[in-house]
Amino acid sequence: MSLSDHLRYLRALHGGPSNADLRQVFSEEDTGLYFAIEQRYRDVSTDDILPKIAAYYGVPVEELQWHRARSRKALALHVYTAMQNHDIVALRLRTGETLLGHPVWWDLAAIGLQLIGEEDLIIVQRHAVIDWESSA
Amino acid sequence: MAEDLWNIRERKQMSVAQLALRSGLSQDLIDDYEAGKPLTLAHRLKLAKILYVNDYDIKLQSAPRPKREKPTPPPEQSRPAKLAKEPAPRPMPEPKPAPPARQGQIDFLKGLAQHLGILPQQMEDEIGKPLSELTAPEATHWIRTFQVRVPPQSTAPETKPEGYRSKRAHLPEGIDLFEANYLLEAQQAQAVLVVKMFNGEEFNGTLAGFGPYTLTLQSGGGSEATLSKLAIAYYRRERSAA
Repeated sequence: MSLSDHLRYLRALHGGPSNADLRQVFSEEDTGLYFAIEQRYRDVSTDDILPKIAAYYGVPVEELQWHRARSRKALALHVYTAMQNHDIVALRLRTGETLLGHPVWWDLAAIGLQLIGEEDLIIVQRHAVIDWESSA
Repeated sequence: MAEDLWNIRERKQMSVAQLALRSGLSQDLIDDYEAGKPLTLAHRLKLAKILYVNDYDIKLQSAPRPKREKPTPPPEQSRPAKLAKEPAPRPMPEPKPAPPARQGQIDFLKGLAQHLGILPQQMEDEIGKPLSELTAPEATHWIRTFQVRVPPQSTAPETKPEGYRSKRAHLPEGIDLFEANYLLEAQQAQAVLVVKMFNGEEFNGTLAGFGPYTLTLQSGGGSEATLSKLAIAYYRRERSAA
């Protein structure tokens, strides 16, 4: 799960503070960066802002750094590569489950995964994927 | 956060001429846009593709590029009296020789030659000297001269296969085409979907509607539940009873 998705998740877990609420907590510059991190698919965060966000949500900075290293584009590349090589991917989800299968398609929002031994696709929302591995 | 067009273009290390050639817009128009003329939505989309950004990353109206600050002279009344006199005319500086054309300009001219279907040699013949001997202002002049000869993109409607949908150039994938198709098929087939939420909760039902951010399921009893995709982990068609 990317930092972008994780921030949205943390925001929801903390009662869904509005943008106006966040503006009162962070400086103008930091608020702009915060929103950019949430909105962009690539990583635009800085080392300076992570401790501030971590303090606000009461989570370790390392947690945010971990998600920062797993951008949506990185997941897209992983799935794309697996499709090209016919590899099996293992998607670890926010629900605690790990799904094993062949990606059949992917787009901006979801991955169509054919689980091993099953015919029907399972449509995994990309923001639900915490981490991923490949059989390769 | 949207940025000024000129700012993005310079960050991408692209000249106005290159942007013009790739986007099919004229250099003058791009200059106007960079100077503050409001962008049309179609042109913004076109420029965004070339610049590999989202269309909404480009401001609809760019602020003109700040000019380099010149030292401001002190106000008249604060100047010493002797400085207020007519200054002596300065000797005219020797005109500086024009700098040689940049490699980027030469490459661009070669690219234009390719676009026009002529050899660089033919281009040099018309210019009257080798490309490598051009000065920067000469190169600018010839780029403009040749650029207007590039035929505009055909206005005839292209024949595209049925079901064709264009993709944004800056994304390797369709926006949400695959998922939308899956949902559409499921809706038309009135298939029962099983949706698993982040918190482990499951919802079953036929798809009454869907959008980029929500799915609406209709249960067997007729009640509907609209689920935010942000809270959905995955979904699938209900396994048919064997």
